[in-house]
Amino acid sequence: MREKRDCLVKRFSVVLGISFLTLPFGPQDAFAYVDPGSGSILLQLMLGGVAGIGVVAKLYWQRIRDGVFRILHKS
Amino acid sequence: MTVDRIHGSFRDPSGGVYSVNGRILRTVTETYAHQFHFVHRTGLLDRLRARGWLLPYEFVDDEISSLFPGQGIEHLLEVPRLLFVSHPYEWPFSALKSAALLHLDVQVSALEAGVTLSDASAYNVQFQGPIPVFIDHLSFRRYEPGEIWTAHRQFCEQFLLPLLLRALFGISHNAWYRGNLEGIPLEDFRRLLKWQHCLDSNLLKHVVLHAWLHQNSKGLEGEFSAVRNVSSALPVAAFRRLLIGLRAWIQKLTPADSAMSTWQDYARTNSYRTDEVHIKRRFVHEFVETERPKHLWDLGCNAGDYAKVALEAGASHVIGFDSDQGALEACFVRAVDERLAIQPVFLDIANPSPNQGWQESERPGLRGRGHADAVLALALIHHLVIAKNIPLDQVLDWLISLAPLGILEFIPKADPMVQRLLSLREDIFSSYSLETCLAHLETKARIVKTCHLSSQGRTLVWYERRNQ
Repeated sequence: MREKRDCLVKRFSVVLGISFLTLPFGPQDAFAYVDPGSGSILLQLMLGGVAGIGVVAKLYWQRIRDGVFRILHKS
Repeated sequence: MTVDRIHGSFRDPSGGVYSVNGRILRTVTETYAHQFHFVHRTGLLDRLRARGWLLPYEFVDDEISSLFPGQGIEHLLEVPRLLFVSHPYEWPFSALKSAALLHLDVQVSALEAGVTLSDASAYNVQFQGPIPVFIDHLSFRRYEPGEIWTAHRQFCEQFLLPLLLRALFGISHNAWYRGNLEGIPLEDFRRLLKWQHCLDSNLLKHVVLHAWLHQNSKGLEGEFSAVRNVSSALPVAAFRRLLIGLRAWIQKLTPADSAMSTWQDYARTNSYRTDEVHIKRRFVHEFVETERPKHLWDLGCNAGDYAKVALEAGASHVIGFDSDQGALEACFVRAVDERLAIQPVFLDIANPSPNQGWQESERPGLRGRGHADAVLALALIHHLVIAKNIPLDQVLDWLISLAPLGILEFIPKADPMVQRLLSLREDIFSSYSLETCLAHLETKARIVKTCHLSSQGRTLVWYERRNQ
């Protein structure tokens, strides 16, 4: 049961994340000669709503987990 | 007929800006034309123009074949020539703030029409008097629902952070901005902040978190371009909230060092008597009424007292230069409140803006941006000669080279203001005298009229440059 739930959450996050993050690379690129920078994209995803916050958290999840693991391992 | 591309416009693939026999023309390339048609059809440009937010333009397509044959140009627009092009690093705080607010207003209006701005360059705003106007007709393109604001970082670096530098720390943006033409880098600015700043939600969002995400998104690029599947990254309502929130925040920003500066209070603390001020005003009035210069440069404008006199006497536009932020603020506020055609500009005369940017021509220096019909240099020369050690003859030559006409005010050593400058230093200025000044002036100019203002020997000199 838990495995199934985790799998669903994972799939949802990946689809959501990829679809949100790829939007800025659409057809308007030809005239968007300003580089928005990855930080701005992530910030605006977060400002866009709860789903966006989830996406950003998902992107950083591996780093957060590694960080926590390092701290626990040290202690 | 000479067609010269204006150097600052080379980055834009949508078109360029050209100077053709004194006219300013803007090309719209075939590749951008579909976007321009869309924006034009929305009526947005007309609405912005009617509000005075956008520089007017008219189509002169019939001249494409003669001026730009075979260059893939779909439209040609003619726009009015600006009297003086200024750079953001020359604007006082209030001017940069009003430019930032205009940019956000234009972006919000655009959004309502299904349009967005492709960038947030502060160089796309210019001033007519103290009033900002958006000048880049090609920055507009169709808004794709849900797309992110690609120019957010650029807006922060070119508008927001330079304003915050003064609002939080009392440091003017001009020198830093001049050294880095794209504004103040987000990561650099974040390093200036203390933990207490994180308590401000706007700072936390637009600066701290924004910079942190930039620095900590390395390695995630692969996930950014995996699949092209359009969805709603930043819903339009959230985008609008972001813009309105930024606007409200910027509207409230004031300089942290807003206490009276030396020159802001100059009108009250100077050594002039009331009758001397009247004489000086009459002299400036008579000069402008007689010579009828349209475009004046007031060097050391303070709060704009004599720029206002010049306008009342018939001048159409005054650029007021000063290096004192307090004086520039006072001048800007006065120009807005009294609807005066004065544009206050930050200038250290001993170190004016140079030619810089790509090929040292992207952002022209002071001399590369036209000449004035006349200059006012009232109580200025002694600061350059005595405080900056610039030889008197060089100061006069420079002044005469700026415009064919002018008024200079010579302040002798006996004057209390010069005595103050000399009080802590050795007097090494043996040749600094009215006689030397007039003698050198006469080698290059005709002295039309002089007027002794004070018993100490303050003297106004009206001169006309000789044809070399």
